[in-house]
Amino acid sequence: MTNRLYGKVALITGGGKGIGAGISKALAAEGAKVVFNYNSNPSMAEKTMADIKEAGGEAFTMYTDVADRAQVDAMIAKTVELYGGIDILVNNAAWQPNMDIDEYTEDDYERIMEINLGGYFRCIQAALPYLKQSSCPRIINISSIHGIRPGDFDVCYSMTKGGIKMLTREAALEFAKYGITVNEILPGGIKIEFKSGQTHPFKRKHIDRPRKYDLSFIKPGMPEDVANVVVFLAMSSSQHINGASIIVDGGAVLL
Amino acid sequence: MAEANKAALITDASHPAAEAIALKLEKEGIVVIKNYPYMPSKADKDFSFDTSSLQEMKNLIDAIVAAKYNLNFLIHTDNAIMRSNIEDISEQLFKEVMDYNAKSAFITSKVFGEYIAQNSGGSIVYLSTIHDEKPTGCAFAYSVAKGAVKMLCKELALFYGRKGIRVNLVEADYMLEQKKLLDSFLSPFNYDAETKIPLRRLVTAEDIAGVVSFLISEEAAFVNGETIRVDGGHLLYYGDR
Repeated sequence: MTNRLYGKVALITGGGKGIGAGISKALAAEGAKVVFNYNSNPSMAEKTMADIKEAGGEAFTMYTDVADRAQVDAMIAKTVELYGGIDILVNNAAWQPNMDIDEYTEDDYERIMEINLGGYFRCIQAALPYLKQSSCPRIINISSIHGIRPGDFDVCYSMTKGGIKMLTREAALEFAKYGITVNEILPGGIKIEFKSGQTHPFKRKHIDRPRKYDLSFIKPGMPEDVANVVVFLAMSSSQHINGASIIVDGGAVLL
Repeated sequence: MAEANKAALITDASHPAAEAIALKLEKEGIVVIKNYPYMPSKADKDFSFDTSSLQEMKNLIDAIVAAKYNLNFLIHTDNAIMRSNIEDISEQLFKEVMDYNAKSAFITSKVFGEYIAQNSGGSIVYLSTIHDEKPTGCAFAYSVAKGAVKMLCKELALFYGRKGIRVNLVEADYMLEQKKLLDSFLSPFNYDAETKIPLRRLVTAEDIAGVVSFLISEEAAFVNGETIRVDGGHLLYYGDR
């Protein structure tokens, strides 16, 4: 532990697995008290809890559906009850069903908008009274490279990420008067565990074709690569960065 | 510009630029089908279907086919600006603004994109706003929704592009009719816009109509997934602090 965020309270949505787990662990390793929710995978959330505690960190996890206002309010209330406030909100929870427009039903559309965009808005609004009381308040939205570049595997996922870009910019403008900075991170391909039965979207569409050129110099990212940027944005030294979109993809978008 | 004997659907004909777009396309021999999702239709030949409802849009397709229109172009013009801030907007208003602007784009693209691809071919144009890049400071849900539409355009340029349908977007500056709606105490972007815009005037409906007409024409045959900003250079202004 390096304790650069000692005494801070961080709330990470979807912080039990994948990129979110990397963020939860990194913030806890810097001394922040961490609360994260899970939705679909309690066992991975428990493993993340165990990893944090083994490393000497402090954390709490609970089930929350960020599409439900009452559950979001309960998660915020629990965080404040446990640790006295919120300094860092990391919006990360997302659904990515990997469907084209002809596969999406109207209900699917509603669901992904309620989680990926509504969830971010809802958590920001609910956490705001506590962020306003913090001496170093931060909102960090985890978006995707597909907020600026189409992914060709999930039309609505990209729509929500395009929306997060503007949510970030509007929030950065609106909350500047409170000293709250709001930024987004756009990860590219990050190596995470897939659930059994889940297929990588590129493989599903059979576009993982043999490559003519050696592109091995672009390494796949790890959750820690994203988490390191979150930690930087959470620190006081990042105070003049506001409304920014930071790409974390090893340069893959340049290919 | 665009070819004759074709038809274009304007999804919300109450948009302040819609009339100019219709006039421009009609001069080029394109039949214009007008839909009014938020008000009664103005003429018997117009329609009034809810663009954010999948079933209603299927009903609109049926009506268009029954009227023997040869639909080639979808021009999404749904554009509802509602003043709101993040701190105290209601869940209901957030969803309404998202539905008006983003869901309508998704639903109309899903229904009409496939129809156009399977029938006589054509293209899709979203009439959007510079606020899919520039925050408003006064209508956050509007810009969030338009940010989503921008990515819808890019994704569908891939998906429908493979079916021969081009998909593009116009980022229009606000027109005079929209100016009061976008006045902001947080962003000085709107103040004295005429003096910040290098061309020294606000955008007109005719400016927008010309770009929409170009994008659906054969002259834009290789333009796909593109955003054309129509703001006279407004967004290049920096430093009003």
